[in-house]
Amino acid sequence: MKHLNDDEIQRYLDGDTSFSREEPMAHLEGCPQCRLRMEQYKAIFKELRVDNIPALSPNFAASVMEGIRPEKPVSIFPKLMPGLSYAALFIFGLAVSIYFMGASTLKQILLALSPSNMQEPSFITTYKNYLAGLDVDYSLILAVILVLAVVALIDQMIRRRHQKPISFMI
Amino acid sequence: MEDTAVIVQKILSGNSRAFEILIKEHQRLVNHIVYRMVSDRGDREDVCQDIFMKVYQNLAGFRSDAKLSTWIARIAYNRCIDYLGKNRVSVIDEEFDEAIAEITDESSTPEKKLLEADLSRLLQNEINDLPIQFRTIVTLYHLDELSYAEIGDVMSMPEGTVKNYLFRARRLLRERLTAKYKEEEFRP
Repeated sequence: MKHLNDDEIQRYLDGDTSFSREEPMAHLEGCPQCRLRMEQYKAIFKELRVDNIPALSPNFAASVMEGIRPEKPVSIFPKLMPGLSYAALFIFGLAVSIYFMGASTLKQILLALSPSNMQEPSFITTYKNYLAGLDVDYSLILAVILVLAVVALIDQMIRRRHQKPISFMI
Repeated sequence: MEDTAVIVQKILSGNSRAFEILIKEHQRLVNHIVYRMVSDRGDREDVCQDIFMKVYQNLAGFRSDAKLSTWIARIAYNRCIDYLGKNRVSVIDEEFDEAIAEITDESSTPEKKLLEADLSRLLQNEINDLPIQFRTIVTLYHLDELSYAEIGDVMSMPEGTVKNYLFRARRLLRERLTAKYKEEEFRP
C-alpha cells in the first residue's frame, strides 16, 4: 500500500468516520515513516488544544459595563428632583424682578392683584393686611433665593452632561 | 446555564446583570479571535470591548434559532476585519504563498533553535506566523471546538473551504516544525 498522505493522517486523528480506518491502521503498523508523521501530527494536535492565549484583564466585564451603563450623575443634591430646579428658576426670575423693582413695588403689585373691589373672603383681607404691615429685610431673602437658583441650575447642567443615550434599568 | 432566549430577553428588558453574565461566558471566545487577528497587543482589549458594545447594540436583531456563541464570534470576526482594514493588513490568501516560501528561511538558525527548543513555544510562534484566516480557523476548531459549519458561519465561507484551510494550516505547521528540527528530533 502507498504511504498515507497528510490529509489522511489528519482525518484519522480528527476522528473522521467518513472513511475506513482499517487500511490506514494496517499500513501504520508496518510503516515507521508514516508512523513518525502520525506522531508529529499528534504532538501538534495536542499542543493546539492548549490555551496559551493571555486572558483579558480580570475587570474586563466590569469595564464593558461601565461603557454601557449611564454613569451616576455627579449631583450636588443627588435627590433633588429635576422639577425643583425649574421651580428654582421661576423663583430666580421673581427675585430678579424684586431686585430691579424694589420690594415695596412688589408689595404694591401683590396688593393690586388682590380682588379688593370684589367682595373678598376673610383670608384675603388677612393676607392683604399681612403684606401691608410686612417689614422684612428683603435683601437677605433675595440673596438666599439667588444662591438656591444658581445651585439648581448648575445641578441641571451636570445631570445633562452625564446623560447617556443607552441606558440600563439599574 | 439559562436558555439563550431567556438571557437575551432579560438583557433586552434592561437587566444589566444578564449582560454581564453573557460577557463572562463569551469573553474567552472573543479574546481568542481577537488575539489571533489583532497583532497589536495594546489594541486587543479595546477591540474586545468594542465587540461587546456591538453585541449589546445589535442584540435585538439576534434570532433565537441561531447559536449565540456563533453569532457573537461572527461580530468579533467582522470587527477584527474592520480593524485590519483600517490598519491596512491583508487577510486574504496571498499570504499563504509567502508563508510557504518562508519555511526554510534564515529564521531557523541554530541559535534560534536553542531559544525555541520548547515545542509548545515554538508552535505558538509558528501559529502566529500563519496567515490570519488559517490561525483563526485553527484556534476556533481546536481551542473553541467549533464545527466546520460554525466556523464557516463565523467567517462567511463554505464548510469545504474551512476544512481545506484547516488541513493546510496544520500541514504547514508540521512542515515548518520539521524544517526547524531534524526529522527524528521532532518526535513527541
